[in-house]
Amino acid sequence: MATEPLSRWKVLSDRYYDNHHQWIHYEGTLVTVGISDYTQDSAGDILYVSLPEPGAILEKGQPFGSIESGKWVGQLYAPFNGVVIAANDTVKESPQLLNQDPYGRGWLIKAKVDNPTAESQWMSNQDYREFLATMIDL
Amino acid sequence: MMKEQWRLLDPGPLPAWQQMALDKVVIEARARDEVPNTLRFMEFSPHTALVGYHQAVDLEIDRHEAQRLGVEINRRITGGGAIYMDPQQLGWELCLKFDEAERIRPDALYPKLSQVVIDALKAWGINAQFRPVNDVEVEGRKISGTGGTDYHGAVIYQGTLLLEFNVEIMLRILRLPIEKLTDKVIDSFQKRLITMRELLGYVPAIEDVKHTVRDSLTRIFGVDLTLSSLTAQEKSQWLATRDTYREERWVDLRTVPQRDAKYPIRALTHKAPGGLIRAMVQTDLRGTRIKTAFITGDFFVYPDRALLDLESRLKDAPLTPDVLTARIAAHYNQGHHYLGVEVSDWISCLSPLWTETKEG
Repeated sequence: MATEPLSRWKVLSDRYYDNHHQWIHYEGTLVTVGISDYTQDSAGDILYVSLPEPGAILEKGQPFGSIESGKWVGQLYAPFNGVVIAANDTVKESPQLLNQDPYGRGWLIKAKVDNPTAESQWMSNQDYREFLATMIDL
Repeated sequence: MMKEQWRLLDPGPLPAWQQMALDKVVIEARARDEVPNTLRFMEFSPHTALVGYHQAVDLEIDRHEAQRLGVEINRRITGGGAIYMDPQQLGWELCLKFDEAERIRPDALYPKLSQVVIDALKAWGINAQFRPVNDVEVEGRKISGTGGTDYHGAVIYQGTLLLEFNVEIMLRILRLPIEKLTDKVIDSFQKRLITMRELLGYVPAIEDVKHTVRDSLTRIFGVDLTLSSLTAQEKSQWLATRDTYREERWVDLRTVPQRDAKYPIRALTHKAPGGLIRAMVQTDLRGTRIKTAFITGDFFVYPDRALLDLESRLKDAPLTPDVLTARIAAHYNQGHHYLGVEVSDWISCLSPLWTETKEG
């Protein structure tokens, strides 16, 4: 809710975020995508993860996989056009890593981005903190 | 001020593959803003076993038994566990889209949407409440299980409402933590569910139940609801896609390498000072998580619903002593009283689940 302290959810300053609560991190020419602490916290126990195979084409805004927590299937949306270079087999085997370490061992895919200047469309960590502050209860 | 107009879809009894196709058509149309927010009733005929989106049929359902009993098998687009749907249950579904500026937290959304059913039951004099993760229960016993999914900003949140229920068929077709189907087992599962028939003394007419759900929705959301049909585009998409939902590539979208693989089931006992704890626990294939636990014992516990609440807390819990200790302690802190059974007794009871996995 809007009055909750911003510190409730961890936000790392070394990466970008999109409005699907996914993080995007540049490592040289590769971009890693994962879910934010907010997502894992509000989802609860994550039980299943479905990810694309390497070589899969990512189309910005289109689902590239899904996660299931409790009784909810949530889509994962491609933050950019590109191609999947690697998917994290460890989280497919152990989805609880997404709860335990969403910014580290719980990464989802590594990809090559078609447009190298794509980062201008994402939120900085500060913008994302403000975005989180607007989340409301019904 | 004009009330917002939502629509009601009530297509009547349909086979599961047509219902599942309709789910997808409606959520896509809502995501594209082609249709308003929608309440849809779902009635299944013939009776059906449905797995959750990510589940593998062979792990959840006895195909042979389902075929013998004429129970169809299908896959939902929503999450959650395998369920059995027959014509005596009313499926209900909300397909909504919120303004982008109105960023809703999913963990706040589910209790709010469940309120539609809770409020509808109140009209029948039934006092139900939401139980996390996604159940609606009466005195600890489940009357409505729910699940959901999102798609491009639209969400589908759906559930069942038990007007009447055949526990025996469910136990025959779903792979649940039971060793042998006996009258005692049937009775035990019956006590974990509750139906409107049991609460009212009769099975209410399904049309009357729908009416109270409609009234409840308009009250809770302050909207008008209009009985509608699919749009021409929805209907054409439904007719064009629905056959794919009866194909193997949809029903068996997720598979396990060995078709005869089964979730491990363990019968655990522990002698606590207050009495004997018995737990039948089903874990995931890798033994890292509890799937379902059924607990009985001869210790004293208050209120009666405590064990059902504890089972709910343990559902899907990781087999990590620290996490389990925290969850069971939180359960004790909710006012459940066990005489001579401490949190540590539960951990001792469950500990073979992780110690033997590590050793083995």
